[in-house]
Amino acid sequence: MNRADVILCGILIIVSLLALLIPIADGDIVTVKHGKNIIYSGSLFQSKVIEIDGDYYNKIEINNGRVRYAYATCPGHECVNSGWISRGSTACVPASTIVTVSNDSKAKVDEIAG
Amino acid sequence: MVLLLILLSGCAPAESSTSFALGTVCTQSVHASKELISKSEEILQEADARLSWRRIDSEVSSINDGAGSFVVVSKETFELISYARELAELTKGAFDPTIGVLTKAWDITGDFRVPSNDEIQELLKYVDYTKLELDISSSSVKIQKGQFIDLGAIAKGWVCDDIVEFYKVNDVTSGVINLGGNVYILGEKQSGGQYTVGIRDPFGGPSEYYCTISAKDCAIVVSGAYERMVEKDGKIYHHILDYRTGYPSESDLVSVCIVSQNSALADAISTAIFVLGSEKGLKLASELGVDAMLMKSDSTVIYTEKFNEKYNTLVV
Repeated sequence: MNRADVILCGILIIVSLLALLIPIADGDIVTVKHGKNIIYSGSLFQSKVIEIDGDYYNKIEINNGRVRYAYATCPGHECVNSGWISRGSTACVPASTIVTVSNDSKAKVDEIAG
Repeated sequence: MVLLLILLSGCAPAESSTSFALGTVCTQSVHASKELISKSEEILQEADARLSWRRIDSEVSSINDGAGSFVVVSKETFELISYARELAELTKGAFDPTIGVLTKAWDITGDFRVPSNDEIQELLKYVDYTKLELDISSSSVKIQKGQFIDLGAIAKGWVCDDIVEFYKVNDVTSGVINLGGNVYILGEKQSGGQYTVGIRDPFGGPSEYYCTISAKDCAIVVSGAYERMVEKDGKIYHHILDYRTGYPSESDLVSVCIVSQNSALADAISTAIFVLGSEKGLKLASELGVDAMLMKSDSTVIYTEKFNEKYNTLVV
């Protein structure tokens, strides 16, 4: 092992230790789809309101780690009644919108039935 | 370098898709090419176009509009309606596609209203699967005047079976398909081990589950009163109607989970068991040889024999 190898090994060890010590930024992503189109994708950890005007109006609220349909003009308001989610997905079928939280690294199940 | 290549050549990620069909959200995460997933989406949309009673140009609407006469339908639709009638007989009407006359009157997911009791009693006269006539030679279906069919309690399961068959024919061996909460596990994870499915907590939100099931090559179908419900004047109305009363079911169950290799069977039977309640429902499941896990309104959970051993259930 020459001097360059020693330096390289040293750098790799330091980088590895830093990776363990520095907290990884939370990667939870909210994706909002209207039909086939992605109309928003961004962090779950923020305060933001997304409005969608289509067959029915949807107001989607992201609030520091959770997301919900805050208001909708669809019949039944099942989407609004579903409340906040911080994983998985929630949808407004009449408006053809779906809100998905991607946090695969934390997911304990591959899918939810029901 | 060899190590790097090994790391980079790991299993290809599953392709995912989301679409709206059969009145619900349909998602797939399957280890298949984009072309195959696109074809499976076509199967889904084509089925929606044939089977939805809300679409005026569907085959089901043709049957409903032509009540009193035989109406020719495609082979696929004929087979589904034949199977629905068969299951209606097996469940003695607890699952009955002719309940559509009441589904339409309540229209829980559309233009909801509470029908009068007189109207419900009148409409109940038309809920009768024995009046559903089938002519295999001409692939035609006839309902009586006043009847109306709704395949909502079986169509998702049936189409799911079609999609699974399509994938198997095309040598796709791993993935999860979810048609509005009706899940099918195709094979095992490419990285090894079984897929795990959460069973939705009927008292929680859409991403909360009370138990997990690990399995392969089977459908996991759940019926619950928490889906498709509306509130009016302080009272909750849900979408599972009781064929005996014409009102949303008031059985002692809040969630019915069926595990079966036959997704259509699981779909229809989960509805029938929900309506029948825990005692009769568990008896029906045992008679039909399907595996069931039922949650009662007091949160107790009951199972058919050996359910836990077969499916590695884990209460969370």
